[in-house]
Amino acid sequence: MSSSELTAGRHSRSPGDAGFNIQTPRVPTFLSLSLRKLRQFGFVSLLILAWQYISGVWLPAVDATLVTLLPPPSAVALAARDLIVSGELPAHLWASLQRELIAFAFALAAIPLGIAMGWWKWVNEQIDPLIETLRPIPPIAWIPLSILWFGIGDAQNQFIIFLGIFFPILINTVTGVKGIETNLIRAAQSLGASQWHILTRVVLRAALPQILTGIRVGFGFGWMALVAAELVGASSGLGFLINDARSVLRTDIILVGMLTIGFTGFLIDTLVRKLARRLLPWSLAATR
Amino acid sequence: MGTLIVDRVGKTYPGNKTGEQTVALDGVSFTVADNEFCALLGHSGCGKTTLLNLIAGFEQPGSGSITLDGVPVRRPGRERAVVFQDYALFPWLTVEGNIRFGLETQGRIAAGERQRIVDEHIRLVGLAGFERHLPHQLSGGMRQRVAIARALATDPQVLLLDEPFAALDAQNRLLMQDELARIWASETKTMLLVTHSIEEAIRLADRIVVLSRRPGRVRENIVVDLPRPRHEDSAGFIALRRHIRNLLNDEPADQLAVEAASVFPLA
Repeated sequence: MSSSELTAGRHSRSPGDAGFNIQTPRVPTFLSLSLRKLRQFGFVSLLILAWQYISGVWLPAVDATLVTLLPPPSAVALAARDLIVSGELPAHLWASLQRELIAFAFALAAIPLGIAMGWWKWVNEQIDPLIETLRPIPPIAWIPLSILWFGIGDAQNQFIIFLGIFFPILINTVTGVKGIETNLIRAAQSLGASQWHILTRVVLRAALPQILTGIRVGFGFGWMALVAAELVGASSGLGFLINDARSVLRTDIILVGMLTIGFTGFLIDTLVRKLARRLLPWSLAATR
Repeated sequence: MGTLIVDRVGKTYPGNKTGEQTVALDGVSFTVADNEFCALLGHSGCGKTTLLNLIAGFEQPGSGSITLDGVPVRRPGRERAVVFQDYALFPWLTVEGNIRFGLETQGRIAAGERQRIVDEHIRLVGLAGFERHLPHQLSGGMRQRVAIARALATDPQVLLLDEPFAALDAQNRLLMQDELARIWASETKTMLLVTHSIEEAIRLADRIVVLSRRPGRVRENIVVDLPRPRHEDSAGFIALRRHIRNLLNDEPADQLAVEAASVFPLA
């Protein structure tokens, strides 16, 4: 009996057990939960196995040099181990994360700006054309100019990431502020709240779910922009790592770098989502 | 104090593209005495909510004036608290936090005193034990209790209620009407209740201002002197209900009026 059969069996039985007895719903055990989690990796495992077969058995039989272009998962895993043990991968990852975080700190300026744009019509009128023109320019298109401005290194990289994070936060903040229920503002006014009070204690709070959505999207954009920036304008970081590996034909290192970028991006997104759920239980209840 | 004077108030909204204007209110005048419970009664769309918005200061009248104790109303203010139909509670604040909100905007109240006022109003609306709940964890009736407590906590001169029980089921509506009557008896505030329910108006109000269909004009200003508590099957209640029904139905019998009469049990 395979693990997937086991979990499927458990799953099909549980509704019957719960039945009409609301007092004692079936509490999933740790084992059944982890088995169910594992099930979703079925297809991925199959792909990895196929890849292992193609790169490990089939390609060497056809043309051994081709293996260099697509090393098998086992080789990638070995390369990952070496890179972690030597401390190289953690160092590059940290360099990239640091840039992302610093850029994020600067990009938080989008929140007050977005609130101002959403709240005062005239601010929106003046700023919006500028934003709408700058926004469609991909952060990557700023790379040549930013290298001339900042040189190669952290500042240039952070600038590119900043552009990636800033606009999603700004757009979402504006949308969030404009979408606030009129009566919430009116209630605050009737309760004697000053304009400052309303902005900080009602508008900011009410727009927070949308702002967090902006932060999530922004982090994703920023992470993508980061790697692009590091490819050409850095001497450290994950982008630098994979580009550097290319020049010495270490495809296994390239793949390790790419996978690290993917996993880290996924991890950041999960973290922000979990944080949002913890901080804003009320907004979740409202949207459900 | 809390004498509210509405003097020949009119409000016209610019039309859409056709340039045709909508006259929402036309020459509305009435006075609500200090500590009086007044109901504004009319069909949906007769401008009664517009009138409440003007009194609250959310909008400005096109003509006429509104004064509270002789002071013209120009903007929203703490002396005119509002209870909204959709509650308008701050969803991120607990029951306590919502009630405390209006007190925190006034810097001069000490924290201990603040807490005492919050506790007092939680007891007043019967929500002891729910202090730390968030609004989405409460039922509609309980949310409206929070909204009433929040409005009363700042000690306003007038409480403006915009169809506060319209979203509740019949059972809860009756319960909340009794609650409101009890709260009014213990707090003695000037109350202005907007409603489209004749029964609600008669059960609660000292004075019923009946508004006509658009443009909203005062159809009749009725003083209710039935003894409290008022029972729906008492002779006085029935007679007054019939009188107001006729008032509301004795209008140009356009299709809308017929429809409204079938939606709201006025006919």
